[in-house]
Amino acid sequence: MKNLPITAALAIALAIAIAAIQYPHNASAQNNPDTESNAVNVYSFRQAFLVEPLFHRFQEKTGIHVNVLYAKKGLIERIALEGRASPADILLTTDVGQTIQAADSIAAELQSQKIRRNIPRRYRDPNNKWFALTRRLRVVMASEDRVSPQETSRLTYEKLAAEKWRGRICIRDGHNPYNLALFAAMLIHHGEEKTRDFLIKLKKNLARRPAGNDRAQIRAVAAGQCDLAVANNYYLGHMLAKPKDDPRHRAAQTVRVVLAQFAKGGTHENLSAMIMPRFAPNKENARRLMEFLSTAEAQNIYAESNFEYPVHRSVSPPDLLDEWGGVYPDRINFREMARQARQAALILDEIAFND
Amino acid sequence: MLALEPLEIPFRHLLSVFLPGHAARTLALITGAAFGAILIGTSAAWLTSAFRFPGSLILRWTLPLPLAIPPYLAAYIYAEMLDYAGPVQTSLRRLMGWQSPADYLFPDIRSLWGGIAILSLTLYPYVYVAAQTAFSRGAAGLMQAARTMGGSWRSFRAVALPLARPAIAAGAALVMMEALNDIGLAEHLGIRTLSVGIYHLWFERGDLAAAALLALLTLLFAAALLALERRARAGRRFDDSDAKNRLAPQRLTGKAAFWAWLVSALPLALGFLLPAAALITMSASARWDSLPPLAELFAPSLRSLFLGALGAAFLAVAATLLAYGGRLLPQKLTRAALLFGTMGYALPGAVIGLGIALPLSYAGALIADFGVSSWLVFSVAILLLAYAIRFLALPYRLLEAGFARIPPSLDQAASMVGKSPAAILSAIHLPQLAAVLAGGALFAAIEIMRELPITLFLRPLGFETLAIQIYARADAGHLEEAALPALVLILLGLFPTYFWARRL
Repeated sequence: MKNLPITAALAIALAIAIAAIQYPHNASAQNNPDTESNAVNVYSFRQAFLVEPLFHRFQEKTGIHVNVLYAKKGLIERIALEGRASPADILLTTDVGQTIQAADSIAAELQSQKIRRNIPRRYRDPNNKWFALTRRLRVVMASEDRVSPQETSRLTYEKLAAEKWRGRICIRDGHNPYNLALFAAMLIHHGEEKTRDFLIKLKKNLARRPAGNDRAQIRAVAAGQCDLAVANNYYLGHMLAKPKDDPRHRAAQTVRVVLAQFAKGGTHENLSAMIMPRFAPNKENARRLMEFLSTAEAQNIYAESNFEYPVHRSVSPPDLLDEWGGVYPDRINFREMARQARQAALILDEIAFND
Repeated sequence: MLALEPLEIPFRHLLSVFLPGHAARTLALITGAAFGAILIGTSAAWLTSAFRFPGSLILRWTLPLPLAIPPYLAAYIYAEMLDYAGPVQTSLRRLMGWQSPADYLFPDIRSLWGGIAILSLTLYPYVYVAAQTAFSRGAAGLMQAARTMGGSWRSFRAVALPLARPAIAAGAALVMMEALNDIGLAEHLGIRTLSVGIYHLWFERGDLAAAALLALLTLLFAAALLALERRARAGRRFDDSDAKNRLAPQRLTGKAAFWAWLVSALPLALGFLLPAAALITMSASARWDSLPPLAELFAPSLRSLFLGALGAAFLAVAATLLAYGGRLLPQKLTRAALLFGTMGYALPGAVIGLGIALPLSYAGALIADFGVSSWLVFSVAILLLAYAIRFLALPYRLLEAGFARIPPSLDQAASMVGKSPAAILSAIHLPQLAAVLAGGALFAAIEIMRELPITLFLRPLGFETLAIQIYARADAGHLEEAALPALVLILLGLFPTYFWARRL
C-alpha cells in the first residue's frame, strides 16, 4: 500500500488549497443567516464599472462591505437554485423582463418609506418587489453624413420597416432582452399580425446579420456599414465620454441620436432595477444599500457616469442627455411588456430573425 | 426528470422551429471543424514528419501551440480584426478607395463559416499530434519500403494514411467534442448551436424544461461522438513498440521546400502567432490610464492556476484508480460504467452545470434546515467536481491506452509472488506510466484553466478567474481590456502545451 500515503497527502493538500482560495471571500462574505454581518452581497447583471463607484460611496458612508457577483446571464436561476442557502441580498437587473421574472420568482417585499418617497409610482412595483434605478431609452442612431435631419425628424419605430431603409439598418441579436422589450411594446401597440409583418420587413432592412452588442451597432454606423442603428442611448454617451483622440470618441461624433417614438406613443423606455431576494441573509444591510441607491446622491452618480435617466423625482438628467432632446417616454405597462416579450421571442424564432 | 417539468414554450414550437435549426447548425459546425482540423492537422503532420525543409524541425515542435489559445478568445480577436469597422477592412477600403459595403465582397466572420475556420485553426493540434505520432512511429519500416518503390505521395496514400486513419479519426472526434462544447465562440459569432440554445432557453427565456430537452438532444450527439471515437481507437493497428524505428525524413529543396514550409507554417501563424501578436499590440497600444489596474490580474491568475493544478492532480489520481480498476476487473459491467463515467468529456459544460447544480440545490435546501449554510453548492469544491466530470476522460483515456501496453503476464507474475494489487500498481505500472499520467494531467490543467460555461455558472460569489475576466470584458465590447488577462492565460497554457509537444 505504498501509494496510500501519497493519495492521503494529495487529498489533504487539496483540502488546504481549497480552503486557501476560498478564504478571502468567505472571510468577507459571511452568509450565516443567524447573525447580521457587516456585509451585503450583491448579484449584478450590471457591469462592474457602472456600479462600483456607488458601492464605494456606500462603503465609505456606512462601513458595510459590498461583495459582488457579476454575470450577464443566469443570476435569477442561480438564486432560485441556491434557495434558502443563497447569499444574495440584492439583485441588480438591466431590463424589465428580467426584473419582472425575478420579482415573480425570487423576490421579497420591501416596505421602505424612503424608497417610496424617492421613486415615482410608475417606476416601482405596486407590491414592493422591485424598484427601478434608472430609465434607459432604446433609440435610433443615425449617421450624420448619410442621413439628413429631415429624414429622421419625425422618425417612428414603425417606419424602420419602410422600404427606403432596405439594407441600411444595424441591430443586435433579436432575442436580446432590450430588443425583446422593444418588440413587446410593438405587440402591445399593434397586435401580433402587424408586429410579425414589421419584424419581417425590419429583417429585410438589415445591413448584416444581427451580431455584437449595441456599441458594435453604433461602430458599424460610424464605419459606414449601415446608416441607422437601434441602440440604448447611454452607449453613445460612453463613447463620447472617452478622450477626444480616442477612436471611439471620434466614431461617436459621426452619429446622431434620434429619439424615435411609436406612432401612437412615446420613446421606448426600459428599466434597470433592484430586488431583494426572499432568502437574503443580510436583509437590514440590503435595505440600507437599496435606500442609498434611490437617493439623489446615488442617482446623480448613476446619471453622470452612465448617461441614463434617473428615476429620482428631483434629479435631473445629465446635460448630454438634454442636448439629445426632450423625452416623451412611452407609457405602456411594464408588466404587460414583460409578458409580451415571450410572445415576441416566439415570433422571432419563427421568422428566423437572426439568420 | 427535468424534461418533465412544464414547458413555457409550446412543445410544437420547440420541435418544429427551435430544434431543427439548432441541431443542423451544430452538426454543420462540428463536422466542418473536424474536416478543417483533419485537413490542416494531417497535412502539417505529414509534411513535418516525412520531410526535412528549412524550419521543419521548429514547426514540428511549435505546431501544437494553438492549443494554448481557447477558441472563444480567437473568435473575439478575429471578429474584432475582420469586422467591417475593424482594421483589416478599414485599411482595405482606404487602399482600394472603396466607400461602402456595396463596393466589395468580404466574407462575414460572424457566420457559420467563420466559426468553422476559427475552430479548425485552434483545434487542429488534436489531429496534428495524433497523426504526427502515428506517422513517425507507426510502421516506419513499411513506409520506408513504400517510399523506395513509389515516391512520397504514394507512400502517404497507400501506407501512411491508412495506418494513421484511426489516430486521425480519434483526434477529429476530440475536435468535434470540443466544438460541441463551445459556447463562447458560437455566441460571439452569432451561431446558435445546441449549447448556446440551452443557455438561451434557460437563462433568457426562463424555460428550464425546454433547456433540458435540448440538453437531452445534445447528449445524443455526444454519445454518437463517443461511439465514433471508440471505434476509431479500436481500429488502431500500430503501437509504440517500434517507437525507436523512426521514419527517416526526405530532404526537400527549392520550390517544394517553400510550399511545404508555407502549408505547415500557415496554421501556426493563423492559429497562434497572429492572435498572440494582436493581443500584444492591443495591450501595448492601449492607454494605460483607461485600463483596469494591473493588480486586478493577480488574483484571477492565481485562481486559474490553482484550479488547473488542483483539478489536474485530482483527475490524475482518479483516472489512475479507475483505469487500474478497469484492468483488474475487466467485466462488461465495469467497462460500461467506465465508459459512462468518462462520457462527461462530450457533454457541454452547460449540461454538466445544470446536472450538478440542481440536485445539489435540492440537497442544499434539506441541509439548510439544519442550519448548515450551503455556500457549498457553489463552492470551489463543487467547481472542481464539475471539472472532474467534464475532463476525466482526458487523463483516463491516455492511461487506459498506457495500461494496455503493459502485458498482463507481468501482473500475473507479480501476484504469484504475493504482491497485492496496490503494490503492483505502484511498483510496476506507475513508473512506466509516469509520462503518460503527467501528459494527461497537464492536458486537463489547460482545459480547466480556459473552461468557460461551467465556471460561469458554478463559481462562488466574487470568484473571478482569468477566463471569466476575459469573457466579461470582451463580451462588454472592451477587448483591449481583456488582452492582458488573455496573454496571461495563453502563457499559463503554454507550459502544458510545451510538455505535451515535447513527447513528439
